[in-house]
Order: sequence, then structure tokens, then C-alpha cells
Amino acid sequence: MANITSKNGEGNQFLSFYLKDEMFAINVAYVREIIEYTHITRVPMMQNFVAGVTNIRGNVIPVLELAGRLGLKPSPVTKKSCIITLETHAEGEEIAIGLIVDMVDQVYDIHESHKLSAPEFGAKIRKEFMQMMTKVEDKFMTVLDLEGILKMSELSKVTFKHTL
Amino acid sequence: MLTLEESLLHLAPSGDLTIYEVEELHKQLIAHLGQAQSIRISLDQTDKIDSAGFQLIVSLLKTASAQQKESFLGALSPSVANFLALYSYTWETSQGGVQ
Amino acid sequence: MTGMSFSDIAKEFREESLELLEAMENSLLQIRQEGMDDEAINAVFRAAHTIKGSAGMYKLDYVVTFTHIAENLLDQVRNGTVPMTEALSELLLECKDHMQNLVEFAVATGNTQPPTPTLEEATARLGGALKANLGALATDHAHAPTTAPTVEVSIVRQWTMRLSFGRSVMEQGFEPASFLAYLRKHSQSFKAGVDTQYVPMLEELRPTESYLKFTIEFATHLNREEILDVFEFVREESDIALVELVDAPVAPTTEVAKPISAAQANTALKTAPAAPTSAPAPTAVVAQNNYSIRVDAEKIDQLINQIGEMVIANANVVQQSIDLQNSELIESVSIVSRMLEDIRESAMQIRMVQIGETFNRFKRIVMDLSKKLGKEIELVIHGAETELDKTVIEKITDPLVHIVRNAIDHGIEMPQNRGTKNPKGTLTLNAYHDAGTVVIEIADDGKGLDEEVLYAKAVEKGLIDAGAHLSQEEIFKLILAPGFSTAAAVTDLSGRGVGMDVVKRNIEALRGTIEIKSTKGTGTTLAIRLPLTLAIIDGFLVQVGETFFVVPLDMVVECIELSDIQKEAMHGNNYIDLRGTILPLLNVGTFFGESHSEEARANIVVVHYAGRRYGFIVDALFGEFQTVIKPLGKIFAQLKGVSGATILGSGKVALILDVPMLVSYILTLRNGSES
Repeated sequence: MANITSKNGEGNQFLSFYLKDEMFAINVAYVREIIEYTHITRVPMMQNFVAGVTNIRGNVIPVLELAGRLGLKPSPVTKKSCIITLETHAEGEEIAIGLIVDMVDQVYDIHESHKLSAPEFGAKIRKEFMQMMTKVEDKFMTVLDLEGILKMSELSKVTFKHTL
Repeated sequence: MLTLEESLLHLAPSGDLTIYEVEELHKQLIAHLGQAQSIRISLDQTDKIDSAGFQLIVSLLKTASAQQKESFLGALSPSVANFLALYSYTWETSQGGVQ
Repeated sequence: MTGMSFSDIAKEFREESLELLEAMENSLLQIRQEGMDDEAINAVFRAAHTIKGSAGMYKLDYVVTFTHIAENLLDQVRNGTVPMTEALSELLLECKDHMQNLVEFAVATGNTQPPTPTLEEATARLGGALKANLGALATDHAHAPTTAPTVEVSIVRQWTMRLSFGRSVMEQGFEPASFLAYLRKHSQSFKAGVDTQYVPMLEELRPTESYLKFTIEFATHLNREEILDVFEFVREESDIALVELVDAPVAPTTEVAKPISAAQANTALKTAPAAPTSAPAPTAVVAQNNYSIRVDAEKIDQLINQIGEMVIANANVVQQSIDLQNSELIESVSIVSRMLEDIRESAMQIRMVQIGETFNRFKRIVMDLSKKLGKEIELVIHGAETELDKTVIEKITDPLVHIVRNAIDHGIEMPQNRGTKNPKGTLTLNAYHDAGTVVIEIADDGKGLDEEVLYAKAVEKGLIDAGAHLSQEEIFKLILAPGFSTAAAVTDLSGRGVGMDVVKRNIEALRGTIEIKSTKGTGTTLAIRLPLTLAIIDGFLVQVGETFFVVPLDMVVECIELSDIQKEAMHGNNYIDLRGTILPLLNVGTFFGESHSEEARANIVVVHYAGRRYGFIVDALFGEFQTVIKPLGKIFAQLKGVSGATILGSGKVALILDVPMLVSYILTLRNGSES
């Protein structure tokens, strides 16, 4: 069977999670750990979906409001809110980054045969953020394309520029 | 391999004294050490020793010393001697080194 | 040695060779300047010999062949058979460059290709020149290895290893003795000590678990990686500390493949004791490696990070002890704090390196460039013993090269154009510590900067408006502006310019600044001011809106509360009258677009920077705090005004204010309002 996940890492195991009641997944190859929601220091001048930075075992890691990044409305923080920390290469550099999600679900094996064609229209999120659609336990799940989501040139934009 | 005569515990492994033998020997040593006043260790018939065997002997000597039992060490087979040379180790027995 | 391919060690080989080549060059330059010196020529010989040795180990035949010829000649020079002349030292410098090219080529190609024709040509040319200098006696043994190397020379190094196997290694089927036996087999000398103190009494003994620890002293031609590779399968759960003893005899041994000539054996014998017996050169600057150990920089960084974490954790303990108001506890905690401070100092010291080595590189640059341009320039070095963080030194070297080149190229005049000045120009490199920073000055006694020319150029380039009022300092700073000058334009321009904006950027990235002083006709001085270290700063913690910020403490002068009267008096201006002087202000919250409550007390942190004072308006002050600087990710690359992050005792993250950046913003605001 062809490995459809090659673009976004090896393997075909995916960590699923929720944003509101919608189900999403990312390739586990990128996931370093899942931690409880913790204090995040806002960094000024960044776009709204950049939640800020947090301390993960002595390292300062940037954290994104994933819902905001996808253009969805972020939900308030609850006890189930988590930060998924990823380790990935973006434009030749190794980066660690955290994503805030509403609730982490479980790991699924997904193969080529499970792939559904992405809807031509009606999808709420940008095409370049989606790797594919699939269905698990009768629910639709969007597998996210981390390359698109973590595109540095988009993330690093500052909203308030001073002439310096 | 292990004999108890009067109050002398005599450990004289023939064949190998390696990780494959130590568990059984360890049990026997614990079982018999209490009745012994002195311990003699002869390694001249030992074909092969490894770190596990070495550790067991070290532990035995330590225990004997702590319980104020006498310990003697007999001759070494070439294989054991080589092993000890690699570790630059000299036994510490109550009788002071290799006899 | 088998099984190690060249590519595995290429990086290490390159680093080692470049270091040796640098030492070689320094010694050759020393000989040129101060005359023949036994110590220096020995150092040159040793460098060549060692490079030949490692090259031989990795079968870099073309490096061996060429280096061997140089080595023969050097041997005769140090024996006094062949006199050292200026021409010879120049040839040797050229040969050093060629060796470097060969090494770089070998590394770049992974030793899979024969040298290029250009390299071959240079080998033939320089090799011929070297041989022409050889005394009659030597030609014999110069030949043998040139045709086919029959001798394999390896460098034997002394190591100490502390080794503690994981508890379960034996259960996993590994026998500690086998590792030691293997290592012994590949060592020239080997002595292991076994530590049995962790072997428990019989009752507690788990007979198949490993309790042994070892200390092993050995001398081997294996390099660090190869040694560690021996333990590859058990490395994860084992504890291995490997230290190279640099001050121990580093004796090149000669493994004889075929009988070697007496002359060669002689060489080997003579070289062996050379390293240990040579006393350190009296020049304090060039630190010889006596009594030093080579440690992976990463390990030092790790240590410093860990100490940094301790400092943070300790700040928390201090706070809690104060909260508990237990005086004995407070006393104990403060003792620990002091000790921790000492440890931190010591750890930071490990990273501190004298700048002299970097300065020495400029001897060659100055010599080569002045010769090429037909200028006479003397290089004067002051403060070579000044220490600063190794990371800072590494990052500052390129900008320094750039500035020095510019000074020689565009600063110092041709001898005939120097008027009443000494026809021989002087370039001075100076380094000194000043208030928690290091200042590096590059001064030339050249023609100086011409304000009018600079001004006109800047107007022409559209960098400033014609008629704009600029202070002298501002005009000089124009040379640092991007787009001020291009390579083509520079030669026409009396000044400097190529890529100076890049220099400025690099220095700012190090939290440093550049000052320019210049007098037309007399010379120019660039002063680079850098923090001593990049890893830890003492900070002053403040809060703006929801965010904590840290201001580097060495910049903080005082903190004041902005009174209502002062607020009134401000009338919306961005300055207050502080004891009779004007203090320009920046509202940090406004700058960052932070929402901050009007009710919050407005506090001002007064900072001094580049000789002036500025005030930052913040919401709350929290006082001094020691800070480990953590880099902010690439995501924040475009963010201005923040230079890094740090973790507070509470575990929260605070942002470090980039004071130079904010000050320059204040200045733009002021200039804007004035014009």
C-alpha cells in the first residue's frame, strides 16, 4: 500500500483531537508530547493566533492558537484544553512549537484506502492547511498539513510596525 | 562447586562462572553462608569468569568481611587471572590478597 | 581504525587541521616580526608533522606528500641546517595556505576525488620551491614517501574515561570486560581501575545486574568518536565521561609498515618529546594549551544552562524563604545563593577566551592586504589578554575582518599621500572591559571620514533629505546604513562602506553597538561595544499590561514613580524634566500595543545607553533578577524591541527588552518631531 503520508512525515499514525466539536489529526511523527494547558506569556505585536510563549522544561516554546490559525473561532480554555508540542523542520531549521487544542482524542492508523476526497467547497479551512479528509468511527476527520500551518513567513508577521 | 565442611565454606567453581551460573550460585551462597565461619575460594579450575561472576565474588567477600568471617583465596586459572588483570583488580580478603 | 571512513571524521579532521594551520601561521608571522625563534619554529614543525600524521591516517596521500616535503625543510630549518629568511617565511606561509586548500578539498570531497589540476599545479610548484631550499642531506628521505607512503603515522592521544555501565547491560547480553578488552586492544597503553564499592552485600545483590564502575587511562590513536563508538550499543543507558589529556605527552608513534630509514626514525624520536618539554612561550597572549583539556563546547553550554536553571529555581527558594520570615532559613539560603553565584561565575569563566588569538589573525590579513595595495601598515595590538565569551568571539570575527579590511583599503592612505604623517600607517586593535561590556576598538591613522562627502553621498542615495540637519555622529553613522555604498562606488569614495550595514546587523544581533569617531586627516576609530556573555544577564523585572519584561540591569540607572504633577507637565510630550535635565520617554506599553490600565501606577525605569539617559514607562516594577537568556523562536524574528526570553522563578516566561532598539526608536520619534 502506498504511503500517503510521506509529504508530512513517515508512518501512518495520526493523533486526533478536537477543536470545538470538529475532529482533526496530525501525524504522530511530529508530536513530541502533549501537555496540559499552562500559562502562556503573550508576545506583543504578533498576530492574534500567536498565543505567545510558554516554558516547557526550561525551554521557551512558541504556542499557536490552532483554531485561530485555521481561521476558526477559538474556544475558551477548559480543563481539557491541551498543548500539543511538535518538533519539525520548517524551511531548513528545526523548530519546536506548541498548538493549543480543545481536547486530545486518540491515535488512529490511517491508510490510503481511508482517504476521502476533500470537499471541493464548503470546507471551513484553507486548502493548504489540509492534507486529506478521512472518516473514523463514522465521523469526518481532517488531517492537517503542518507544512502549510507552520509556514514561517505567515507566522512571523508582526501586526504593529514601527519605523526603525 | 560449593561445599560446606565443618564451618568452612569452599567455593571452587569448575567450568564457567558467568552470568548463566551466578543466579543459582547466589542462592546457594545465601543459603549456606550463615553456617560458615570461614570461606575459601578456589578459582584455579574455573574456565571462564565474567563481570557477573566477578561481582558475585566481590559481594561474597564483602559480606564475609562484614560478618567478620575469614576468607581465603586460592590459586587462579589463567583465564581468571587475565580477567582480573584487565580490571587491574586485587582481591581484598581477610588474609590479604591472593594466596 | 578499520571501519571508520573519512567522512565520519572529516569535520573533526578539518577543525584540528585548521587550528594547527593557524598556529603555524602565527608562529611564522612571529618569526618574521621578531626573528628566528626555536620555540616558534618548533611549533611550525609540529603543526606540519601532526597534519601529515592525521592525513596519513585517513589516507589523504596528496596532503601527506606535500606536507612531508614542508616538514623535511622545517626540520632542517630548526636544526639550523637551512637558514630562515624572509623569502623562506613567505614561501612557508604560502605553503600553509596550500595545505589549508588541500585539507578543505579533502574534506569537501570526502577524499573521494584526486586533487584538481590547480591544486596539483600548486603542489608541484610549491613542492619544487621547498625542495630547492632543502639542504643536500635531506633529499634522500624526502623521496621515499613522495612516491609511495610506506609509513603510517598516527597520533596517539591520552584519554581518561569514567565509565559506569547501565544496570541491565549484562542482562542484555553485553559483557563489560569485552568493551575494556576491545579498547585495550586498540590502545598503546591501557590501565583500568574497577570500582567495586557499589557492589552490594549478597542479600541485596541481584547477581545479573551490573554494579561496576571503571576509570580507564589509556593512550590510543582512536579519536573521540571512534572511542565512543566502541560503546555504541550500551551508550544510552551507560554513563561515559571521556576526557582528553592535552598536557600529557602527545607522542606521534610510527607504525612501521616497511622498514623505515634511520632519518625518519630519528624524526619520530625527536618529535615525541618536543611537545611536553617545550616551555610555554613567554608571550602571555598566545595561550599555549598547557594544562588545558579540550571539552566539547556543547557540554559547557549544557552545564551553563543547567546552572542557569538552578539560578532560576534558587530565586524561587529565596522568595519563599523571605515569605516564611525564618531568619535561619534565610541565612542558609543566602549562603547557597552566594555559592551558586560563585559556581555561575566559574562556569562562565570556562567559556571566556582571550581575544588575542583572534587579533593575531589580523597580522596576516594586514600583511597580505597592505602588500597588495602597496601600503605600509604596522599593526599594533593592545589588550589581547581581554577575555570574552567564546560565542561572542566567534560571531565577532567576521565583522572585525570586514572593518579591518575597510580601514586598510579606504582608511589608510598610500605612503606618498600621507603628508606630514609617518609614511607607514598604523592600525591599532584594542580591547578592554568597561562596565560589564567589552569594547573592541579598531583605529587607523588614515585620512578620516569626510562629513561633507558622506552627507552628499547620503543625499544622492536618497538616505536623507537634502538640507536635513544631522549631527556629526549621525553623519558618521551613515556609513552603517544599508544601501549607503556599493562595492563599485566605494573606491571612488573617501571612506568606508562595503557591507558595513551587515557588520552593524551582526553586532546588533550580539546586543552590541558601534560608535564611530573620526577626525578628517587624522584617522578613524570604530568602537564596538559588546556584552561579556550571551548566556546570562542580570535583569530588572517589570510588568507592562499582562506581560513581564526584563531590562538588562547594567543599563538601569534608577526607577522613579511618575507623579501626577509630572504627568501634567508632560502635556503629551514624550519627555519629563528629571532634576533639571530632559529625560526622553518611551511608553513601553504603547510601543508594543499592549493594553494597560490608566489606573496602574506609571513607573519609569531610567536607563543609560551610549552616554545618554532615557526613561521607559512601565506599569509595575519587580526588582533585580538574574536571567538566563533563552532565544525566541524564528517565529519572532521580525519582532522589534524584544531580544530574547527568560523563565521566571514562577515558571512563567518574561521577555527581554532590547534597549538599543527601543532607544533608537525614541530617537526617531524625537527627530521626527523636531523636523
